[in-house]
Amino acid sequence: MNKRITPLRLVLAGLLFLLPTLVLVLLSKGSVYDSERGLIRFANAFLTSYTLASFFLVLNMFQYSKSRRQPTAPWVSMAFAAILGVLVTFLLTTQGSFLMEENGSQRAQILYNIIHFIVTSLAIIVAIGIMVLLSFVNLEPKEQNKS
Amino acid sequence: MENDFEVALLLWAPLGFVFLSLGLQFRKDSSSQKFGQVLGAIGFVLFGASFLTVPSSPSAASSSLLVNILPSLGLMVVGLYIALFAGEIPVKRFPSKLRPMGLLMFVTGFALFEAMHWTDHALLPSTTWEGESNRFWMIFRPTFLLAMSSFLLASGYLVNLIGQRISQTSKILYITGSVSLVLLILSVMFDGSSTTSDEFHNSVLLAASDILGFLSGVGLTIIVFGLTIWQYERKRPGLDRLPPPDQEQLNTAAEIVRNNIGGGEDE
Repeated sequence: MNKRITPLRLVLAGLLFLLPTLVLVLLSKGSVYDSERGLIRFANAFLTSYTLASFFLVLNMFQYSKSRRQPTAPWVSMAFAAILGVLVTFLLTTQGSFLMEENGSQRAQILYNIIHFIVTSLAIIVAIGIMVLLSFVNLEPKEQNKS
Repeated sequence: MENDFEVALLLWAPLGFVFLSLGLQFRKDSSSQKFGQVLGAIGFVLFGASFLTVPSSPSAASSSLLVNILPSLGLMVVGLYIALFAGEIPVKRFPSKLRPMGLLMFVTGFALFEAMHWTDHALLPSTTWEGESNRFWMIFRPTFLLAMSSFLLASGYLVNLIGQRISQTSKILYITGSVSLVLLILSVMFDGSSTTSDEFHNSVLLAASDILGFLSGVGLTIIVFGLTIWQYERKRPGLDRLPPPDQEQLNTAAEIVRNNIGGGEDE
């Protein structure tokens, strides 16, 4: 790791990451934010991204198993982790409707969560893509650096 | 029931194709990868058309959003891609004179994206669905602007620490991140064409919950993935206790080395 990147500087970068959210929270003065809905959105986003990303990584685990002469333990463990996400989602949408938003049924809520996850991930991936491209667009040629 | 079947066939199945195609890209054989690309393209087109084929489904609003934001996102990403590969880099793919055009495409795409919020001009892509503001637009725009300002400001600081051949980069990242933040602040102060400032402010704060939930969920999955591999690897015998490689393994290693040695034109 670059010697100039110290833990303190990483904390500062984390604070800069949170700065836009903090500015918008300060501007709201607590008047417009529905905190209960925010908690539900956080829980739904967390569980959906955990579950879908786990299923995606189960596929990767098959490749890993192949490279290690076909052991089943790694992908079975990962499949258990993904199934745990599904079970928790079902449990929390049925028990007391904790994760329910403005959707009529449990099935509608789960399908909405998947679409919501796709929209959110598309927004985040495009933002990260722009960050990466902008970083490299301004790369200077080597000759200029030497002088 | 019939409608449910149509929605499953014309919206959810194509979406499944797109996910499956992503999974197939990790297969080593190129025929599976190509099949995955074709499947993904078919899934993408069918999902994009689902707001026409199954407009009664609430999820069809997301396909309408996808079609409407595609021109602006395409301009932004393709513009930056052209600007990057038209620069003075060893892997140059476009002539240098295309660089300003790439940057102009990025700015135009961003301006188009913002214009969609501030005005409902008939020539601009629509942000409404069934006469109201599209609920997924109220998720996408705040998430995109918030993620962009957060990531750009943090990366502007980190890039500055690395400090080689990138003296301008940090400044550009800070400026673009700040522009994004200013647009968010303006949106929570002034009404847009189809949303009030209060509605948007609530959406931005909910988008912050979404981003934190998304990053925590994906982060936890990566930790679980890493732990699973670590658990398996630690039970394997150490390198010093392994038998020497057999002829088949040596041949495989030699083939990998042969395929990766020398470098092509791009390097």
